[in-house]
Amino acid sequence: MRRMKDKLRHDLILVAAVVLCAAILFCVFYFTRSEGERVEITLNGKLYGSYPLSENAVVDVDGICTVTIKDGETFVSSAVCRGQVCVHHKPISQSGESIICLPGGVTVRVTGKGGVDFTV
Amino acid sequence: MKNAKRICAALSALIVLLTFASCGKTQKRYSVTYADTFDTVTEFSAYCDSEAQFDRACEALHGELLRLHRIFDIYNEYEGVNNAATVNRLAGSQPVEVPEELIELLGVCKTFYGLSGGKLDASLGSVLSIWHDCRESADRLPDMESLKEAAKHTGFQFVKTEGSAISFTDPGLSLDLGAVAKGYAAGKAAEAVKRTGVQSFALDVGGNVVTGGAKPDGDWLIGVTDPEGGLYTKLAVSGLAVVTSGDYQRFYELDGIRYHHIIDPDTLYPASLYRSVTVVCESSAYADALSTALFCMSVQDGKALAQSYDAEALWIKADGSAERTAGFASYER
Amino acid sequence: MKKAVRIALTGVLAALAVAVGYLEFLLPSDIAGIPGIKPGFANILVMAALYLLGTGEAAFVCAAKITVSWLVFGSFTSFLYSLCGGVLSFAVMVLLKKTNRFGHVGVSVGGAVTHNVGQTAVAALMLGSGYVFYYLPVLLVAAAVTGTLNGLIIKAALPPLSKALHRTE
Repeated sequence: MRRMKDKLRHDLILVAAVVLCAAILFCVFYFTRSEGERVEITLNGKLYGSYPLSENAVVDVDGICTVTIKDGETFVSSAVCRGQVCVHHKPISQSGESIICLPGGVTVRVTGKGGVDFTV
Repeated sequence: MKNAKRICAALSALIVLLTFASCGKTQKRYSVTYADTFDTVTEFSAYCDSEAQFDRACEALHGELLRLHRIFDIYNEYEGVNNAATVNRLAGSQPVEVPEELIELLGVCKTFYGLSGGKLDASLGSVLSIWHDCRESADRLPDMESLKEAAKHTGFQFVKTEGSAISFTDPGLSLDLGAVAKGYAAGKAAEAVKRTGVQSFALDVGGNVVTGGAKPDGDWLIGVTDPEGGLYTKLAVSGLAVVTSGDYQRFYELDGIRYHHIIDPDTLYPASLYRSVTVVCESSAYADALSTALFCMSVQDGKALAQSYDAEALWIKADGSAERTAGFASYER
Repeated sequence: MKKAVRIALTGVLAALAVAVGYLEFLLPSDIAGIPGIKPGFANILVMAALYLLGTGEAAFVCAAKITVSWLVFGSFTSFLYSLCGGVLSFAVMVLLKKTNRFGHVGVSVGGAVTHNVGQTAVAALMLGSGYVFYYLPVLLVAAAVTGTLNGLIIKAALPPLSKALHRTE
């Protein structure tokens, strides 16, 4: 007949283990979630780079065009293509919006929570 | 003490195992982008049980898009198939045998030509190619006389279909399927995806969005661009197509004035009634056709045409105001 | 314990389990702003059966609670969830008790945790989405709390109950 003290100790260990599991899971979820909006640049279908929308930056995309991130917006500041459609495009800032440089094969898109899957 | 620890470890392992076991069964979201069809970017997202299943869906999708891209291409011809370019080159002098998809697409174009009072005109190629050249060089406007001359060689009364052969009674006529081809192709591609067994997916072919079954956490969210920048509204849809025609999609500027790519067949100049028209319809081909047709029509006529196709529409005007069909707001979030 | 008393007690516990389950059903399903948390008091009755009578009787109480609840106020979906959670948690509680290394609180917490994890797994399968797992940390802590509470209640209630029962012999 096991002593009550032993059983109590095992009980405590069990409860502690459960709470520990919860804490670990919580930490895992917290640190692997993507926070905030990001600017994703795709070159010919493959991801070229992903940058936080909140940080100012200037990105040279393989010499084809230059993407600028400034004050929570992003736009194509210069491009070597003839049409310059991407340069003319207004700056984008909301999830799901995108600017496309067709001849260059470059897509600049804003991603993040609460956004849209596609934009028409 | 050791045994208690073992029990706890076993329990924790059980919990973790159960967790991961169910994780494996849940569907993951996969996405891919193509830039080699219809002169635009295509994006495809789907929830699949495995990457292998996703890859199969992508193959079916890409294959179908490529195939239709070739059939509807008016700038290049391809070995072994009589496509739109072939038709434009030869149909003035002899009937040209073409794939059934081209016949089907022309059927849709002909119907819309009638129902839109000629506003959607797939035979406007001669006029559109003048505008295309000007847009490419971006340094001049088309000469009105040339446009009027080219306009003489347009109109579906000159297009004859017999079985699977097309012929033109006016050799100067040429087809431009840009207003409907992407929508039609997107719809066919979506069907190809469904045939591989994938149910929850969405496809965006250069702004022609086709949605399949809903995502695990709800409908697909489609953002409608505000012509002034940002998003005008968000639509929650599943099993429907969404298309927008806007004056900000393809254009060039000259002396501060913007000339976009949707030409009104009556004025022979870019239509200037609205900044954008968005259509939601079960059929992707009709949605595409409607968005172009409505862009050149009055709201009243547009509403009637949309209703006859069970479609909902949104018009955004230059002053920022908007009009909607009765059921459009039900999609908005 | 005489057989008649056994059967009668099993029935009483089963009925009480259903009644408690119904009362909990009537309660609003969020405490302190945390949705989907219930005290699970019916588990006390299952454990009472387990400790006073035996595995078979406890299994009956558990099964009766799940089935009758479904028939009286549940939907097929809720039945599925409580079935999966209930079967798993029952198995774990029996196992833990058999090792003779855990007290009432340990067994109760083991059952509560397994119940919640089992239901989360079913939800993930049914919805085809992994999002439900984000809620697991909350559910685990809740299970630890309610499990401990129920365990303490049973620990306090069993000795007098047991004495009362044996006095009937």
